Amino acid sequence: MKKLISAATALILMGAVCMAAEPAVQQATFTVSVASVFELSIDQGFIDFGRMNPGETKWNMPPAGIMVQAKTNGGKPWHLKISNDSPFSSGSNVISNSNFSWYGWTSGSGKWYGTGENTVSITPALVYSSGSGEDNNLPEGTVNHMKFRLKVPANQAPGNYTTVVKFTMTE
Amino acid sequence: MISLGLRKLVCVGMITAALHPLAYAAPIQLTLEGIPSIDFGEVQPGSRKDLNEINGYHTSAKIESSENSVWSLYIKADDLLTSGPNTIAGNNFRWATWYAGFYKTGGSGSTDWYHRRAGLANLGTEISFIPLDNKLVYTSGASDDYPAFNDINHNGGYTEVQFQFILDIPYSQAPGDYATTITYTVTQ
Repeated sequence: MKKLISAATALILMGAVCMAAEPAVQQATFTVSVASVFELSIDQGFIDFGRMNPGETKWNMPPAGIMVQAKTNGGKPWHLKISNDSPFSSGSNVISNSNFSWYGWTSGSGKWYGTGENTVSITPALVYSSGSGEDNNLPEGTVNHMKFRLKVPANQAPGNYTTVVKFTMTE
Repeated sequence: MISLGLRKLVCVGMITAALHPLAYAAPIQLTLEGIPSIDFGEVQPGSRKDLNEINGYHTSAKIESSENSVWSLYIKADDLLTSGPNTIAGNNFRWATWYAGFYKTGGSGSTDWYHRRAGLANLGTEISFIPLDNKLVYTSGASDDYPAFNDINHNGGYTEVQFQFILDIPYSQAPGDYATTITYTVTQ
């Protein structure tokens, strides 16, 4: 009889233990996609050298310079290049790229390639390579300042000449 | 005599075992409602995203207790929001609770819904998720308006605790798809 009571007590106690502390649990997965930023912007998209005489050279265009701002959080070194799709042209007349050059300065910590006499070319040429800490330069980004010089050859045919200058940011 | 004793023993044992399933099922239950899956979507570096689109909250924890024993709700993150080797620092990922209430019949007579903001451990405060730190969210107890009425034992009703979630993405955060698991626990 003692054994019987003992066994029954043990079973009831087991039941009590099982009832006591069974927490209720739910889980949820949280996700977020942090956006990739790789942006290049310029503060003005139209540069007018105005009326120029044959043989004339114009520096300092535009007077305030063009601000070229590069932003990235890609974590990799990057480069800024410059080119134009074709030289200044007006119909069939062309001002050779040898008369069109760029110069400027950087506010970044990387390498500036402007020597003062860099001609614009159809092949993209290096303007700037990122420096320390610029592989993630948000939010301000890195700003480079560009100016242009154009010489109109003495024998240039009159006309309205245009060219499209392209800035390219690459990793 | 021995034969009679064994029969009684078997009989007691069967009754006790039969009680177990009932005891497991009922004491306290937790479900997630609202929008249980939490996707902050694509967030720009340097910006903040709040998930509170359902009348000021995003997910609600619904607790049903049938025990006369005070219970508590906890929340924890199993880890930081992680994408490969990159993590989002803990203080950028937070939760907040602005409201809790419970449904219970047989109370005041004019309503079956009772406010219980007093049960919230951090009412209106944004709390950072610190990995594996089980934070107290809510403890059952007397209604704000009718102190004689409590949600310790719902008797068929339930308590709802409403969560909103906040995420700041630092400018310096590397891009990628980040994830972590959040665990809600109710203990008595």
